[in-house]
Amino acid sequence: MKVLVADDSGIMRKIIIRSLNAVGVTDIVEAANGQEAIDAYKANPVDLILTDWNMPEKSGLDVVVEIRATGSQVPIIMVTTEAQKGQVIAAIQAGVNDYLTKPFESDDLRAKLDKFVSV
Amino acid sequence: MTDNSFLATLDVSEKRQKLIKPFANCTKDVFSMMLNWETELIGIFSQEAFMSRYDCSGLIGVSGALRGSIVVSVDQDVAFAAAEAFLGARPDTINAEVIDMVGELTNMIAGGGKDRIGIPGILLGLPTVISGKGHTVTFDHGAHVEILQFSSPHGPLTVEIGVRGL
Repeated sequence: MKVLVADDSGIMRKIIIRSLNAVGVTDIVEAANGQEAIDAYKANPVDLILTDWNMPEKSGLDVVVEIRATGSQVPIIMVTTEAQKGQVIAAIQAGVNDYLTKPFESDDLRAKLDKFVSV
Repeated sequence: MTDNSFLATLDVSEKRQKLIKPFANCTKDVFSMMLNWETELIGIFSQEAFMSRYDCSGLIGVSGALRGSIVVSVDQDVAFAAAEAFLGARPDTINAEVIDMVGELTNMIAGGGKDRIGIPGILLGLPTVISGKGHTVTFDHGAHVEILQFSSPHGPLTVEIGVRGL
């Protein structure tokens, strides 16, 4: 299973990758902004995407919209500080499959991964 | 929802509470959930009364329904201990990873506090981090400023909100 992790914070990518490793996922692609994430996905589709919302170049919402526009149904988990109801609804309408609000405990992230990870 | 004794006994105006409580509670949650640290709100200051900043400060611009900045300033030991908790190795300088971590802590505190204020249409920018002994941050003249002083197991930190439009 290959997973794309998009976040402009290297620390946050490491935290997420640590949890992915813990559930057996080691084939991971990293992106430091929305455009990198879109380019990485188009170059080499993955089985799961975890993306931040607020990133330089293009946002996580842009990532979701552009990837869904390709017809892809890849599961996407938004991992973000944005927690207002309107934003959660906007993300779901754009095609996000699940939503995790920062800050989170490692068990919260593990529970989300367990829904989508199969190794 | 978190609480602490200082906050529970705080006697300030409703307007000030509107800023203080969301950011006080969110700061405690961020450190508790991400680092398993207990932080305690130990003081609230006005800009005039509290001008010094710690070694590393994350800043986020606020626009939309409120306009100004949110600053999270941490002592060097706090930054190093947090980086060690996240990365497994303690840095000995304020390097790129420490700066990234302070930016992300700022992002989580600002984002969570913003959502808890309950005012729709507040927008946040991306964090910028500055470091160096004795640096200062000056808020927009006329902004409503609240400086929240916290203790943590590894040293002091402040969360500072300076906004117009409240």
